[in-house]
Amino acid sequence: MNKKGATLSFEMLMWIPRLVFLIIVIMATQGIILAYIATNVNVGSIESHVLMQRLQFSPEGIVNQDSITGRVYTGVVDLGKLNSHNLEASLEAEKSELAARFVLISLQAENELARSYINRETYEDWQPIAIFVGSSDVAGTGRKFPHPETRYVYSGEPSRLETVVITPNG
Amino acid sequence: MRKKRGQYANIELWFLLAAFLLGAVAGIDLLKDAKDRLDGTLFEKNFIARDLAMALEALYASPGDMAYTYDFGPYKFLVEVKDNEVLVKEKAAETSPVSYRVIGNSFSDQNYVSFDNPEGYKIRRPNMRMVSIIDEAKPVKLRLFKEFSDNGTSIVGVEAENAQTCLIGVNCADFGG
Repeated sequence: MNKKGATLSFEMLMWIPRLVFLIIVIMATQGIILAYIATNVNVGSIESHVLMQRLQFSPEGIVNQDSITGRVYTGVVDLGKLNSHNLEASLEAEKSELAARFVLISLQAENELARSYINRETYEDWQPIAIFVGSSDVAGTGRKFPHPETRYVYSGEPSRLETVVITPNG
Repeated sequence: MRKKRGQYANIELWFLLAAFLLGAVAGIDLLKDAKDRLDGTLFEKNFIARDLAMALEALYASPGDMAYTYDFGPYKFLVEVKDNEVLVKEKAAETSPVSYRVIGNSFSDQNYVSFDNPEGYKIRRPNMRMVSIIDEAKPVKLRLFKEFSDNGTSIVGVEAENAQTCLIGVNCADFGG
């Protein structure tokens, strides 16, 4: 009598993990189906390119501007403007939105003339993920995408501006 | 004893029924969600939010005055342009609009001073909300512009055509926002 009663209670208790597993299966199925319905398009590379154009063409960017005529000298970098403070003011991005590194290298001496960041801490946190994502075909919402770009500029001497913008997934 | 066994079987049946109900509700919800995503305008709203954000970022890049008319085509979406994001929704009361970041700049709050321009730049950013569409038969358009003044300050603005708008932080409270 006791044994039978105990068996029945055990069977009833077994319904709890059964229901839990059912919920897990339902959620997994839902996740798989919804993952294949793409409603988002990643525009990180275009966005990164537009932002670089902005720094190069806009008077609020990093290039020289004639104070009398207002003319912007595209491609002539003002070293006074190429610092993290001005870059962060020029591209005011939240820490979760974008991070970037700018390295200005002399073409002749091959030495580094300037190095600055937008959201440096975020950049250093995201860089390993971005390198991994860039070198493999991984999926997931936590992905970070690197967008490297090199521009040839003049900063008192011929130089190249190497930028890496990292954007989150979304 | 017989009564007890029946009682247990009854409880087990209820559990089974609950499991079937749970599965059915989740299944119907999944199908409904998938249908909404495919039939609805989520993709279009996502596209417009990104496209508009890119257009605004391109405007920020402009070295001179610039104006651009953005046509929504057949879609009658309500757009809100805030400091650092674009929100797109179908109805004013929609609580979860689609949004995308706009990388603005903080010159409006903090002057950028350089050797060339000791007075500094100032950019006023757009803060606009579309409240309602005036004529459903006509297309909705946005005019995005950047205008410089003589002292180096500039305005990046958004104006709507065929839609009633309000300025966030100024008069949106009059429209319940």
